[in-house]
Amino acid sequence: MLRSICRNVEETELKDAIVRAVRKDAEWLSTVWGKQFERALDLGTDDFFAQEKCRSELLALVATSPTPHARASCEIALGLLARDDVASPQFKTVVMKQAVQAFAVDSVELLSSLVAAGVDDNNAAQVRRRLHGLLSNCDFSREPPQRAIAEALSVEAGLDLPLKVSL
Amino acid sequence: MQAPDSLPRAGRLVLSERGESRSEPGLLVRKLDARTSFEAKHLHEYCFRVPGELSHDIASLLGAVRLADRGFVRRYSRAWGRALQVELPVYDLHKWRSQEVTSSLEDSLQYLTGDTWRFRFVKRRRKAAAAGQAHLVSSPEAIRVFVPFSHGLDSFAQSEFLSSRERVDIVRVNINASRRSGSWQGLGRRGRIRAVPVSSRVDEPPHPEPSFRTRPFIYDLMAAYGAAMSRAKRVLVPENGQGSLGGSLVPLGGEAPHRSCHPGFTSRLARFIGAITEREVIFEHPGLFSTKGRVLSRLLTLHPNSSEWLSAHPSCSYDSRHAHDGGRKVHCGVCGNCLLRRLSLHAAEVADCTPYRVADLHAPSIEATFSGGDLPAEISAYRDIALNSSRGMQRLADLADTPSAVRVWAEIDGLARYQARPIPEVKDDMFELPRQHHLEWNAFLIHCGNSSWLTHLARG
Repeated sequence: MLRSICRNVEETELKDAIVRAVRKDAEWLSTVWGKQFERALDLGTDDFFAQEKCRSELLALVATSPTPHARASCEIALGLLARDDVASPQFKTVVMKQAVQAFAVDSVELLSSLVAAGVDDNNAAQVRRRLHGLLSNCDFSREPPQRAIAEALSVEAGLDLPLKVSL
Repeated sequence: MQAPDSLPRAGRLVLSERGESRSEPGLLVRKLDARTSFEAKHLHEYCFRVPGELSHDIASLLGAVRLADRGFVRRYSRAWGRALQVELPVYDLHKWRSQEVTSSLEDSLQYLTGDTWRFRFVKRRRKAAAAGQAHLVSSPEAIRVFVPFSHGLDSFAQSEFLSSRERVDIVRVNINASRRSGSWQGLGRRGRIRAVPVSSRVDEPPHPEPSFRTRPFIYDLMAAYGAAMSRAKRVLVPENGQGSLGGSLVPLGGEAPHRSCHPGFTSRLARFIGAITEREVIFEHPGLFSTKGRVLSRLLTLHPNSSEWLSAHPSCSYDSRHAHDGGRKVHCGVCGNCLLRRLSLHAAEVADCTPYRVADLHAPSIEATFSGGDLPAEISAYRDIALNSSRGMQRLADLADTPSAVRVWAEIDGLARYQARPIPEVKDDMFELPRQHHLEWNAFLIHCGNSSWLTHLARG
């Protein structure tokens, strides 16, 4: 992501790089714990009792969370239940979106701090502003398309390349 | 449950009663002796008890936790967390192996460090060395409150507030990691304040893990164990609101949030203490929702001679090798603790007589604060620390504009549970903290000026 922003690439490519980086940090979702977490988020949409069940499942899961982000996701889900009183039918989607968004903001701060250490404060501030501006338009719910990699030329095609000679 | 893929670093510490020390990647074996365990005698000089088997076990546990945390470095580029295993000989094997003791211990450490901890307890056979006569600090019948005491401003202020409103014996416990405190005559005295010194020195491997997130576990467990042993029950955590909750509200990157003074940690530690000692200990957080500015403002009304308490109670967390002036330790002026001290003294309208290495807040750059172009070798480290601390302050202030932010509500929900309070009540307190911090931080930046290096770093 840092390489992309330093090369001043197209906005779409930069957004894809952000989404890839953030999704890579969410590998815990594919563990057994992650699956249990997703199931717990699906419990709370019917009525008050279902919501209480969701809450108690999350409280049990938080103690065994495998990474700081996994724990924070659990805490954010519990916080959203407290804030909104009723879990919306899209509760799981809302939790995942909000949690990933919060982690992305924290990562932008870290990235900007790395730029400050490696380059200077002005560049760091520009990186931070640009990335913050892009975050709200990123779709973290799905993997972005594969990066197009230029295919290597065959030997024959390479031999056909015009050579420039400068004297 | 399968091992998560995102925990790449595993470390196993074995403390053994016999055998030689050795280390290889992922394994550290050490002999259980004075170099790997805290000095149990210190526990008792303030617990008013003859050392028993449990005290020796606690001393070994503290040494083991410190060694395991410092002995296996994190791989920051891959993931924050580590999977740590500790094997430790203990006297009361039945108690230590009980589900409640083990799970509460592992839960406390996991919450605090962001690592996964697993303990395996084995039987300790050799008798511990007999201790001498235990000293009495005061009458065993006195009502006591234990305070983990850093000699900082918050420790001092909250101890003073407590003694002004209650007639209690305050036992200030000061953990000293740098030297073994010898005799009882060496009671940690600094200025007018007496604190009970406890040495936490163990022989660490070279190049230890710098984050050292278990430090509060050591400090608070010592104070809480003292409280449990002397039946005092109460432990006062003096930290202000920004220090207690700021780390959870505005974490950096994929790090586990700093929760060293968070009720989420102390409530878990209280559960562990209850399980191992069978005595209840209550952690109190009087400054949890107060800004440091408000704490100092109140301290000023109690002790108007601010230069006296400012000179006696430092804040800087920066290594003295890098924050000195002609060999004399001074405040760096840019780390999170220094910045909070400066903004809070401004908010409390206290004249700041603290000597800072980076003194001039109005200068256009940190470099310009050093007269004659005489830049210190660690100038880039100063810039790095200043950026992170100023951004942390700014982000915390920004939360005042977004009270419905998910991180704020995650805290409200957690604190309501940990403190057994209704959510609407906690919500009001929680909203007030960033709002007040926002006011104090804005006023401080205005005081520094638009062209100040600090304003530039925070809002650039």
